[in-house]
Amino acid sequence: MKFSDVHIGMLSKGDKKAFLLLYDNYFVSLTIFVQNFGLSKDDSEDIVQETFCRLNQNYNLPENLNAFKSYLYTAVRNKCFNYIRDEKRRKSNETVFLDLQDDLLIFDKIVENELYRQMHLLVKEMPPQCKNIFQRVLNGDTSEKIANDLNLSVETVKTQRKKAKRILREKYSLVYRSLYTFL
Amino acid sequence: MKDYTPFEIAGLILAKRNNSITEKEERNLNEWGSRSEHNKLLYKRLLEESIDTDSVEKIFEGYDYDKYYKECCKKIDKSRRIKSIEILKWAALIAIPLTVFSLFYFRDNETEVYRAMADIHPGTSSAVLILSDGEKVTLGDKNAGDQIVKDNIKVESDTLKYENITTDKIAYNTIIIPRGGEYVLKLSDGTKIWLNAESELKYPVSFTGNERRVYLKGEAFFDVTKNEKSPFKVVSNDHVISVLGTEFSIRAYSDEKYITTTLESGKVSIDAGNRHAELLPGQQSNVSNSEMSVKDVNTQLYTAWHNNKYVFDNQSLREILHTLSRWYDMDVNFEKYDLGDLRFTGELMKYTNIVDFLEKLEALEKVRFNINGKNVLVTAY
Repeated sequence: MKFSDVHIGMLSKGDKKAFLLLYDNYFVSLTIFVQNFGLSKDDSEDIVQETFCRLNQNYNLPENLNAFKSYLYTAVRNKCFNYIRDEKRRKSNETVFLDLQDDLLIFDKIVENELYRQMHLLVKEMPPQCKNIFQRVLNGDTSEKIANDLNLSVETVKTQRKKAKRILREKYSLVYRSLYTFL
Repeated sequence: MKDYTPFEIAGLILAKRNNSITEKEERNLNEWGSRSEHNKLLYKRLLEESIDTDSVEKIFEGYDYDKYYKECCKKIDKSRRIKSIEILKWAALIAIPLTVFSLFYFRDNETEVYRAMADIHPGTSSAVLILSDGEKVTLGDKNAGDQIVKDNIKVESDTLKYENITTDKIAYNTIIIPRGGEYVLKLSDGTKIWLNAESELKYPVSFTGNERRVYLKGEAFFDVTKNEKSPFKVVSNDHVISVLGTEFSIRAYSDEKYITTTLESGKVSIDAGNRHAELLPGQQSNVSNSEMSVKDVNTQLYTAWHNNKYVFDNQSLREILHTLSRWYDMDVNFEKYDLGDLRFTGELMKYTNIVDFLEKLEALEKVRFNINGKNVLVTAY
């Protein structure tokens, strides 16, 4: 299930289900985002955790999902910044410190992170065989190569590719299209 | 010129990679990509460079938010407690009975069940095939790849196929699908059959004579290859469906009162004992020991399962969970019998986590699902 606009207000009220969705959809990808700036896995997780826990009782959250995502990324970015500054790790992390102030670079990192996050959520919900093949398609493998690698017939691979495409189309119409309507 | 958020750009790039982008979206993305050298570079990198999803998945696998989620829940409880203590102080000033009430009230709030204890997973492609000589073959090990079971019987992905088989003798095979399983079968005449969890089908490896007869227990969706000279018959005890070529779904579980046949296209006729009915597309028959009825239905509700979905329309919680328990291999109990009469409408993608679905139901009605291992206890909120 996807975290959506309606869950944002529920976070403020400390609704545990909304929090479960938030963790399921965003915790890992934000942690990976933070690790981009040279922080350890543990430190990155702590930063995201602190950000998430503060959402409880916070009644000033943006109502729109994209605005809320921006808010999350900005919050972890600021925490990263403070973390490196406070811990006097600045010298060894001079480039990271500059990276964190580079809005264009951050934009790129967020796009990349979001792309992976959305791919991961899509792949997660596919039937196992379909998933296996879909991942290889995204990696640019041809049907022949996939068939060879997985010990399947080319026909099977083509059928599964169609299946994956259909699932994707359904998902798109439900989840992501809503984002584009205002473009 | 519109300012795009990184989330919008990511969505557009993903849509483009999957070829599901619309013309308008593509124009927008290209326009954005041509705005600056920087945009162009990012656009090129994410679109043209091959993205290794395997390693993306591996990275994700290395993380677990569980511990952190639990910790966060504790913090939420704590903040509630502090709040309730504050209220209690005031309540104590006003009246003691009110204090007692508040205490119970807030304590109840804290007993929300955390569901990480759930050990319920969606089903997988799995089956046992019993050959005519009694030999048993386990199907559905996804590492096995394509395999040849015997002569002209082979497995391709999640489908068992019979091809070019000619024998004079009638030899029967039986395929058994366990709870939490499913399998697809393609018979020698080209007929395709989707078998749902906890089902069993007995069929000849090749069809001879003037009819094609198979025996079913449980639930299956048939896409029967047309052959006017040889009608296809599905037999469940004394319930016989006869067709020439069509698509239909049948549900004949021995622990359910009715045998339900839902026709998607073509024409079928049904005989049960001395009763007879014919179905037109969009119609459904329900047959029990003593009665037979035909009605118009939304066929989606009864056939969606073979397309990766379960769809429910104003069905009782008892029916819904009974259906899902076969696929998720879980045991369901109701604390009070009445709870099973609550009605719900909704759909569930078959390969997703059941907990998300149950939580949606919780949000709609005053029920709670307490999950422990494979057991689900339904209680009132």
